[in-house]
Amino acid sequence: MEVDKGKGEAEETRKVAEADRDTVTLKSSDGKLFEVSKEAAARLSTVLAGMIAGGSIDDNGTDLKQIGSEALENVVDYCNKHANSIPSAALISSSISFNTAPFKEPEEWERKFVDRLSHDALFDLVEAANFLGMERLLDVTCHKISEMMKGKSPDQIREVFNIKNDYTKEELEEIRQELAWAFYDD
Amino acid sequence: MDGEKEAISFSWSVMESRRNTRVVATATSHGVLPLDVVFDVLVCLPAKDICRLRAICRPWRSLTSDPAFIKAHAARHPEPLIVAQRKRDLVHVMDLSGGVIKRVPIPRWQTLMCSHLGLICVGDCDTSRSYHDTSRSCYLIDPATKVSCRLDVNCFEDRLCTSYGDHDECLDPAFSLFALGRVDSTGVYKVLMVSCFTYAELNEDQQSYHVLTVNGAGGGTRWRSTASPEFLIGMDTMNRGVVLGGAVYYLADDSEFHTQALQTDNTPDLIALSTSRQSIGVLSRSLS
Repeated sequence: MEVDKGKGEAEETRKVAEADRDTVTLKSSDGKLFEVSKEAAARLSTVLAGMIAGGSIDDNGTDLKQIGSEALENVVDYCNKHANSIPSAALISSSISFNTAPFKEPEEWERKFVDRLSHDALFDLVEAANFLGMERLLDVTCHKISEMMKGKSPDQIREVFNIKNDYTKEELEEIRQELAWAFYDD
Repeated sequence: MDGEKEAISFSWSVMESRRNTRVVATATSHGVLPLDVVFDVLVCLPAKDICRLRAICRPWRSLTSDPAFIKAHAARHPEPLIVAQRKRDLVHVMDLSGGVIKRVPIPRWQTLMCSHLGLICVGDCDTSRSYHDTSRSCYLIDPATKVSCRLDVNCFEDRLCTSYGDHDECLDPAFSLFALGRVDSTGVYKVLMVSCFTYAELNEDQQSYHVLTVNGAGGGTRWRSTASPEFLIGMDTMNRGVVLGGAVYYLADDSEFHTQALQTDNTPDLIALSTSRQSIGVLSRSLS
């Protein structure tokens, strides 16, 4: 009975929460549902903020067809962690006036958050952050990717970024000569 | 070594946000980051790495050469850069740790005079050189685009003529110094030219001062002569001056000869030449 009562209370709380709509439900391209705090979503994503303000949020799950479930899970995870972390002065100012604020180094938890991701997961997450207009997450993920590029040869970078070398041999030699100094460590 | 002395820092003035300057369209294909995400990634990297990455592929090259990208990159990396001349006909743009970011060719015989407002001012300060016959010259160079603009510095006579014994003698300046400044209130760019004349026979030095108002597109309009200060600036080609808040500061000539000639105790250490009012002020001995 006790357990049932507890469940009932939880049910009640959830209903209240839904009525107050303090969360939004997001649906990934493969149909999985994720719930995220409305406040955090609106604060961290310009796209979601626009959808919430414009009333185009679907209570049964707002379709985000461009984002796979793994990436969306990371997005939601990031939003929750962000909401739970004590926002530092740096983060508050960066979320308010990011466009003019200088870049803020990733915080420790943000660094850990992206460090644990696989290569593919990181690339999917950066695209999701870009799609959702999540400036801070985009910054943190882009920063991580840029760190991965350091000390890599052009060939290695092409491999990491899945880029086809569209220069001819002659053109490449020309560029290398033009930018020869950039290949030295002086 | 001399190049280090000549180094004057400047920062690229960029105010626009990277978001607002974004021009690259998204083109997604599987496993390849869209270019606007690549934009965000590359903007994190130091300038030297970016140049190296131009060899990756055409889209990356055009992306990193795009003025919008360059602006965003400068906004992200606001640390001042240093310009130094360590070789003939070349100046180096360096970051504060001394890493060379860019090599900018400069016209032959030119010496780095001043780097200010994101531009480099070079001039041929030594007109006494017998083995080359072109006269004085001054260029403004944009290190970002390597576009240079030659200022016409021979459009007027500033030969100095005096009566010497029973004849008049006219002298060309021994050397000229140039400095670039901006009038803060109007945003107009001005170049100051200090011509130094030496009368060996008279054991006397003179200087003349001219200010050129530079048009937006480059190229001068007209040099205007301006009053000479009571004190001479140091007659030294290494005394290139420092531009701060619309004024150029030069070390004053502190040679015994001048101090005696002026018969005064308050010979200044610094002479400030204002680019806006074209007035000259002196800072009295406050430096030790």
